[in-house]
Amino acid sequence: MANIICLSDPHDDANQRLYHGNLPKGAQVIAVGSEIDHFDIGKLKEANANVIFVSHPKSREPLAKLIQQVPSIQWIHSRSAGIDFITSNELSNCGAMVTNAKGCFSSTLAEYTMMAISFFAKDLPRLLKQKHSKTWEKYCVEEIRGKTLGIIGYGDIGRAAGTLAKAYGMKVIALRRNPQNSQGDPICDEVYSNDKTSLCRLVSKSDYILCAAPLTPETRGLIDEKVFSSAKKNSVFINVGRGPIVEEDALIEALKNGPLKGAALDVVATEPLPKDSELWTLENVLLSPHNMDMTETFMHEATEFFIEENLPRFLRNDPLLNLVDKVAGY
Amino acid sequence: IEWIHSRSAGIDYVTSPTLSNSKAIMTNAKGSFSSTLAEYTMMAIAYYAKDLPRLLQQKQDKNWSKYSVQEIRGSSLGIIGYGDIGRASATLAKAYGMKVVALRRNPALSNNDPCVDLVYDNSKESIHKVMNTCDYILISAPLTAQTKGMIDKEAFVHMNKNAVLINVGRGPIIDEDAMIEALKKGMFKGVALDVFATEPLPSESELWEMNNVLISPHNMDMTETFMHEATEFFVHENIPRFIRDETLLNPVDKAAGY
Repeated sequence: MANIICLSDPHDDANQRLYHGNLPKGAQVIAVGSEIDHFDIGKLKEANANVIFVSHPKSREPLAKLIQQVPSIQWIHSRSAGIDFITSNELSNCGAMVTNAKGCFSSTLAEYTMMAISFFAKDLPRLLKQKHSKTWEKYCVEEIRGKTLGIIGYGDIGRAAGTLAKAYGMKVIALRRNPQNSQGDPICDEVYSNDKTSLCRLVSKSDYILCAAPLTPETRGLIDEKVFSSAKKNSVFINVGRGPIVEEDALIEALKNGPLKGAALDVVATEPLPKDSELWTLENVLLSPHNMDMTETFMHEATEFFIEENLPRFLRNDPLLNLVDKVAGY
Repeated sequence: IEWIHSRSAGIDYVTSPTLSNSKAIMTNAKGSFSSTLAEYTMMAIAYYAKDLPRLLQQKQDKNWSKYSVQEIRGSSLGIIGYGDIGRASATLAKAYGMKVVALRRNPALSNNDPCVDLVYDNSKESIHKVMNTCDYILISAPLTAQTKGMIDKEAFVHMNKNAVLINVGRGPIIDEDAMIEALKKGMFKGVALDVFATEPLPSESELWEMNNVLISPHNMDMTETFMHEATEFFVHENIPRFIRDETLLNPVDKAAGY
């Protein structure tokens, strides 16, 4: 049996199939709410709630409380890839399995990565300026082929970006916690482990640096002044991971005074980006409102993944897909 | 004169009856520019798929407003003129998971090509079909008597509303006035042009001020070393072959014009 609590917005369009549609036999949604007060704990326990589906951005506290108060919870599924929005001591210590939407967003973010690279390689800003002033002025463009992409955080998203980069003829250097897991990976030309020295070495060799890491206690503030000052001159920094992985002041400094040529940021430390942030006005910054994975159907697909893939597996007692390490945070 | 070599890929700038009738072999720089133009093609596609114009406007306005982006994966690319440049673009498009439709004079030559899902001939019907069914249409054909004005008013009538047209071939292949009219009427989504009927593009051209137009000054193949490399190709590849009386690389059909 799967008796599901949805920690979500009842009006979330992407979840409608979960709330009202056909679920696998043996599965039912017993409550939907976004705050702890929306739930009748007594009823949840009576109904033997054993699964929590999490999609609401403000779920950290309600989830921690539900875990404490409803001991029958066996499985928690996050509709997104990042689980930094729900980590807590309660989550780390509870016995429940946690799964996420790893892989659902990778392809689109890889496409964004190549667009960001092209934006700087072909000097799109210059093209647009010239159009505005009706100037026909030839200039040299850079080839993407032959350049080096350094990927910090070589998970599903990193690998998807690496695969596209290889198709362009780029050289790929990957940095990950467990470099041995990438032995024999045809996509990486080199793999480093995630110590500071290796990180500085990676940025010194990369023409384009992609941060595709999750936000964990280990990665918070990882990309700091020391890392930026080690970067290759005129390199470009791209972030599709999480804003707080980067020391934003150090990034701004590197953008204003070198060595960075520019940055493409789909994530920033505080979202929405506060109006007084210099990132809005720096010319060499491509900003997007954390939407570069947001296709029309992506959240629907992520909910479908829960319904079609993991829910049947849970009901059959089969291993679930996309298990996360609650303590490691990804 | 036994042999004439063009440092560029296009030979439309040197064709003449005298050239067509001469017995000299002609070769060009086919292949030297393809990779960079394929990179430009994917950039042009992403420019529209992720709505880069909107991103840039929002940045100017300090406006944090989420919107849905389109996936390139699963969309279709129609390639009109499937030569070296077309094939390089198809290869990249396939890496993105696009569906690729190619138009060429000799479709049979692409029968077992893994980079192409469908091959058509270059008849009017085929052109109309591609304009109608593809999300992105790339013109990478040479300029010849046959291709001149090939993308005409009638072709634009068939274009689907959400399609994007990209030209890295030669400007005169497209009827530029018909294109501007069709764009203004909203008959399709936008264009990305590296080549124009007249270059430099005259300042009076409406294209400069239109919103859904990406303009580049015929420089999207211009890397710092490309001309050096094209000259090296002549020096290191074809000159030795000529001297040894071997078959030259990149022969062109002077009469056909490519």
